[in-house]
Amino acid sequence: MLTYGGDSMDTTYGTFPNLEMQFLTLNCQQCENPSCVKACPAEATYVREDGIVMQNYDDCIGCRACIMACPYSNVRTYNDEKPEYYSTYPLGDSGIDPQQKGTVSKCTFCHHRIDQGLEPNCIDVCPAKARFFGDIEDSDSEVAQLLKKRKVMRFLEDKGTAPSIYYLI
Amino acid sequence: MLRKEWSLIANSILVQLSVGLVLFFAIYRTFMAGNLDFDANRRLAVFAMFFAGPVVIAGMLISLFHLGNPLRAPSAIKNIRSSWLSREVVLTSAYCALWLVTFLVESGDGNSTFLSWITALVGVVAVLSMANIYYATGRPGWTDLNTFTSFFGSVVIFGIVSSFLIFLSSGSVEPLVTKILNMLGYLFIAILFLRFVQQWPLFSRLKQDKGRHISNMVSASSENEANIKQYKSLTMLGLGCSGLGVLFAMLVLITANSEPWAALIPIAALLVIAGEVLGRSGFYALGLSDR
Repeated sequence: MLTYGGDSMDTTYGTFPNLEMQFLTLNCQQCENPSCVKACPAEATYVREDGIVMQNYDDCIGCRACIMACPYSNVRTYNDEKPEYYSTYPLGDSGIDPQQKGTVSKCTFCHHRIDQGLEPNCIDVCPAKARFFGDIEDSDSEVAQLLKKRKVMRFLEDKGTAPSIYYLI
Repeated sequence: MLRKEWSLIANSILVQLSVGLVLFFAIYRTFMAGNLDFDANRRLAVFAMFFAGPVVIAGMLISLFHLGNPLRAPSAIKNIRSSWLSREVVLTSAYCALWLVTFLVESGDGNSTFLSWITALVGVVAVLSMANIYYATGRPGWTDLNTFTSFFGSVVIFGIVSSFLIFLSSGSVEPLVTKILNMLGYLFIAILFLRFVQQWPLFSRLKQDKGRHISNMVSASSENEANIKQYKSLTMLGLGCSGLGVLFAMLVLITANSEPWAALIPIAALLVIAGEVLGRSGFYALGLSDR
């Protein structure tokens, strides 16, 4: 989650009373032309048949070439330490691949939930119903309808990665 | 900020040092073998050809420390199709193997000139792959001609440093060798000058509009003020060190390698190596952060 405003999270910018602040969620943009996949020497990052950019922790060598190649800020995290959990299993879905020390993690659209016909967790938990998920090539889908009705933007399109995340504005 | 990247700095410097040694060995063997005395030829073989191998192997081993899972390192060659890092690993490994063959031929009193050129060429292509790892990221500080000047400049600079060490270590210097070392000294100065003048357009691009735009916020480019400052200071310090080193070396030449000036040669070499390490540290400061 990024804060478009002050110099740190949850801060505004401007002079009172003309203050501005805006929240911006930024996860893996699931690009159609992902630079991380091209850069990964071990093919630990790859594109699934349905277009999801996956991260295989068992294959990842932790070189961070994907982090260098990705044009988006902080969507990938290098696990320098062994991930710690407050319970005896990873929080959230126990079906998720556990993260490993010395590898790079990123959003994979909750592929384990998609495989069960569910939506990603972030779609379910958003209290403001600000997030939508679906197949934009299906003209009857909610997301396809929203793209037709609303003004949209994608970040850093000039980088040529063709991000799959659209922001409704 | 650079504590995690010491292995990348050391790896790139050592590989480029090795390729510089082999490249200059190939050049001298091709164009100067008949003009060098037995002692100089022997020093050339031992110093340039012998050290090149252990240096590049040390560089490759050190690079393992950069990996989160070093035991999975062999997987790094799986994506030659698109990954410059995969290509670099394969090419550097091929360079190592070719070095060994060339060294064995040289040690057996065979003619290793042709093999040394092949080895040097593969080494140069390995350095090109290494540079493209960073150039291809699209980060403003790395997607710049400066990346190639930095990497290939190091190859040539290390070749020049090795030339001074090899040919000035015996004491007296033949006129032809003095002439060549003079030319190499000027070449060194030209490389430093090129690196220096390249900084201004790069500085100017890095300072461009850092205002409150969403694209600046979402962009992974970590060229914030701290990174840019660190890059500038390390780069200038590095250029200064290398400049001082080449001045010392030219002073030794001017005084015909006489005492006590001859003692400046190893100091000059150390200054140049320090300059290259500082410059490379600045390069990595520009694109990497602690995350």
